[in-house]
Parts: sequence; C-alpha cells; structure tokens
Amino acid sequence: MQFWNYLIVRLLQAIVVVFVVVSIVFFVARLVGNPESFLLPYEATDAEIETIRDRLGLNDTLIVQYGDFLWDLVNLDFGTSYRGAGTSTIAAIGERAVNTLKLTVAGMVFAVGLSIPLGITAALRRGKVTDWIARFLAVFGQATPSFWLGLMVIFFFAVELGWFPTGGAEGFRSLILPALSLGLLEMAAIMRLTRSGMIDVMGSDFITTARAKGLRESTVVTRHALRHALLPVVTILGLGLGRLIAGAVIIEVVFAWPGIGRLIIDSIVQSDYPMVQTAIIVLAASIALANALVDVSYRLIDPRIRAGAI
Amino acid sequence: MTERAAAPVEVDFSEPRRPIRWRRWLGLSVPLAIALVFVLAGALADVLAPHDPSFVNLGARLSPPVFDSGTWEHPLGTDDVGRDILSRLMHGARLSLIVVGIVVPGSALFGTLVGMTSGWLGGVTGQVLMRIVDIQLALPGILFALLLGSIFGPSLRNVIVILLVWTWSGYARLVRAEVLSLRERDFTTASRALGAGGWWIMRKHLFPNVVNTVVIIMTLEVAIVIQVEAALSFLGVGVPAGTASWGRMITEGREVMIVAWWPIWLPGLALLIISLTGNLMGDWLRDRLDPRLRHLH
Repeated sequence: MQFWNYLIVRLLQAIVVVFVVVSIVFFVARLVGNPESFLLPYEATDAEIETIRDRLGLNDTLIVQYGDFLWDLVNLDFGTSYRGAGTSTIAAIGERAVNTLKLTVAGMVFAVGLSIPLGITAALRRGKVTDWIARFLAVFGQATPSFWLGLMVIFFFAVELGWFPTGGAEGFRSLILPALSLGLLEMAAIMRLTRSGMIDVMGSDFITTARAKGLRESTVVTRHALRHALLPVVTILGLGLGRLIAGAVIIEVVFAWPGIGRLIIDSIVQSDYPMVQTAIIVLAASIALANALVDVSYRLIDPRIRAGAI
Repeated sequence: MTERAAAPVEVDFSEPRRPIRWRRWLGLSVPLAIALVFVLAGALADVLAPHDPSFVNLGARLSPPVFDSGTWEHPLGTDDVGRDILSRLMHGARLSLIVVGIVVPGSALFGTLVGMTSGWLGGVTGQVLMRIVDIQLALPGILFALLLGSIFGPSLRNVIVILLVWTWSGYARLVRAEVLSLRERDFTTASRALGAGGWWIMRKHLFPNVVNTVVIIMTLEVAIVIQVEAALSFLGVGVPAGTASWGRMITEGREVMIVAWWPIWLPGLALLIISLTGNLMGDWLRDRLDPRLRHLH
C-alpha cells in the first residue's frame, strides 16, 4: 500500500506546485496595463469603459478577483479570450496543444531514439570512431543555441536544398526540422548520461559474474547492464520533457509552428491575459504532472527503491 | 660471491619521463585563451572596437568580411544597415559579460544560501524551500521571461532579473543534497557536541565542502546564461532593439540570411564558441574538483 500512498502524496505535491504557479501567473499578469483598451474603440466614452471593466471584474479588489479566478479554475472555467469574440481560451489552447505535443514528442523520440543506441555503442567501443562521433555530437549539441541551429537548418535544408518546408505544420515533413532542432540538446544530455552509465556498469562485479556464468555478451548488455545504466536516464527524461516544452516556445517561433508557445507570444503582444494565463497554467500543469509520473515510475523500475518502499 | 654482491643494480628511481599530454594541455589552454580574448574584447570594447557599434552607414551595407572579398575597413563586414559587425560583436561580448557578471555570482550566492539553509534545517522549512525549487522547475523560465518582458518592455534589467530568478534553483538543489549528507557526518556531529551553533557549522564545516560544487555549477552556468540572454533578445523580450547583443544580431541577420551569410553566421559562431569554451572549462574543473558530478552536463 505504501506505493499508493507515495503516488497520492506525489500527486498532491504536484497540485500544490500548480496552485502556486497559478497564483504567480495571476499576480504577475495583473501588473499589465489596461486590457479594456484593446476591447474598445479609441473614441469609447468613460461610461463604456466602466461597463466593460465591470463586466471583466477589473473594478473588484485584487483579492476578490483572485478568489473568483481560483473558483473558476476549480470549476474548470478558464475564461474567454479578449480577442476573437469571446472564444474559450481552453478550447483555443486545446487546438494548439496537439501541435505542441506533436513537436515535443517528436523532439523526445528523436532525442531518445538516437541518444541511447549511440550512448551504448560509444560506451562499448570506447575510443573508437563511434565514440568519437558520439562525443563530438554531445559537445556541440550542448553548445549550439537551438534557435540559431533552427535558422541554419532552415537555410540549408529548406531554402538551399528544398527538402523540407521552411515553416508551418503541414504534414510529417514539416515536423522533421523543428523536432531535430528541439531535440538536439536533450539528445546530447541523454547520450552523455547513457554512455557514462554504461561505462560504469560494465566495469562492475555483477557484469563479470554474468559473463562468468557463460551468458552471451548481448544478454549481458541488454538484460544486466542496460537496465542499470538507464535508471538515471529515466530521471532526466522527466526534467527533459519540461525542458523540451519550454524549448518548444522558441522553436515554434523560429519555424512558425502553430503551437501553444506561439499562441502565448501572440497573446502577450495583444495583452490577452486569459489566454496567457490559461496557456501557462496548462503548460506548467503538464510539466508538474510529467515530473510526478516520472518519480513514481522510477520507484517501479528500481528494485532497490521498491523493496525499501513496499 | 663478492663480485656478485658488488654488481651494481641499476635501479632508476627517477620518475619516468611523462610524455607531454597534448590533448590535456590543449583542452585547457585553448578554452582559457578564448575566454581571455572574450573578456578583453568585451571589457575593452570602447577602446578596441574599430567603429561605433550603432553607427548606421547605408552606403556600406552588407559589405563582406575581409576573408570573403571584403576590405580591412570592416574586418568582419557590415550588417543590413551598414553597422560594423566586429564592433557589434565586441559590444555584444561586453553585454554578455555584464549579464554573466551579475547573474552568476548573484544566483550562486542566493541558491547556495537556500540550499544550505533547507538542507541544514530540514523539516518543514526544508520541505517548503524545496517545493519552491520544484515550482521553479515546473514554471519554464522562458514563459516567465515572456510574461515579464511584455509587462516591463524589453530591457537589460529584465534579462538580469529573469536570469537571477531562473538559475538559483539549480544551486539550491545540489547544495541541499550535499548538506543533507554532510550534516549526518561525524565531524558535524562532533562540532555540534562541542557547542557550535548552526551558523558556525554552516560556515566552517558545510560551506567548505560544497564550495567545489558551487564553483563547478557557476562555470557551467556561464554558457547557459549567455545563451538565454541571446535567446530572449532573439524573441524580442531581452535587450531593446538596436542594442549590440548577439541574440539581436541573429534576429537582424535572419532577415538577410538568404543574401548574406555573415550577419547571422558570425554572432551564431561567437555564441557557439563561447558556449563550448564555458562547457569545456566547466568539465575540466569538474573532473579536477569533483568527478561525482559527472551527470551535471
């Protein structure tokens, strides 16, 4: 039962995190100027301004506004956008969320799919060509600014060679360049971790024992070493997911990708508070949830923690 | 018998002559040299820069660098409004230096204090402080940056505030983890038994043990801070338009990317090289001071 206790406690912690994020977002966003000026023509009278301020609840005290805001959130009412004739913000974000999710998942798939095999090969063939390539990629992957890399790949692969579209989200081909630019940093980090983890594990006693039992080298690597080496990788994946979602904001701008990140930037320019708030809350909640789930799954994967906990 | 005993046994007790480790030597001296160039170029930008970084000269717009059929008048060419790229790069380096100089020590100090306090006190205070760190990690800094940038408009002060708020939690987490194990160790217990107070133990026993970790993170943080400043400026919420910043230069270079390579390549390369330098120096320090922290980067 201890596992379920842990799960519940961890989820409650995630909720506390989300609550604080929500509060920060509310108070910071309220520092911005007059949202009503975006909803009215320039020649609006004072009475008209008052009416709209009343309707938006901007004349209430901050605490009342905050209370209303929290109550609405509990009721899953995220408010309506100041733009586009009262569109529900959560609906607008829902439309974009698919694109951000696509981009983030593609970036993660690219990062994990390339980094783990590369990390293992590099560790098993230390000092060989693969190892050199892997380490080169790791060093440059971690030093290259993703937005500059994005612009460079647009220039070479979209403008010069014409293999991919320069931006937008039209089909699978348009996903490749943004995913690559987004995932490179994460790929480098996971690769380094896999490589060093494998190198450590391959030198340990239980690997020698496994070999002495006469197991095939492939079994030793996949059944014994890999399981051990990938533990820290699982932890970094959770944090990595958060980093990818944050990184997606820049990549979405570079590639004109219609995701939540671009929506936030557009909405900030238009002082569309409800949209900004909802978008940031949605992103922060996803990241908090991802981190909680990773912590929980870590317990399931690592027998030592599991034995201690249950 | 005697002859045998007298036979001198030649034992060479001198250290075997070590081959010069070129890779290690280059691995440290090249980054150090680049860092030195970067710091000098930035600090002396006012004196050394050949032109005023914001002097617009439409007659000389997009002149190529000297190694690509350009002239020595503009050694690294000019941008789309004829400003000298070398001078802008140097003033951009100065901007990065200012940001790094404030943010890195500032967040290191604050993060270390929080980490030490929460690790030492444990209990509710420690938990609360760590949840604050969690929140920090859950709210992507970039979103916070966009929020602040849109409220106060783009400015250098914004960039510094955002980076301070964004980077301290990394120190706090690691320092706390170290302190948690240190406070159970015998020397801490002994000190406490002798009547030492919390502040004394933190200063005399805990801080010396975490300072290596802090220095390593600070070094690795330099590249991150420079890159984030550039990214924020690129997005338009960093330093104001017109400021010589590498991020803004990339934004401006993007417009003419198709016709001229240098306005976007040169600031990008500068960013790449300085990040490589910072990471290599951080790696070197980490291997020297604390190999356990290998997972950091």
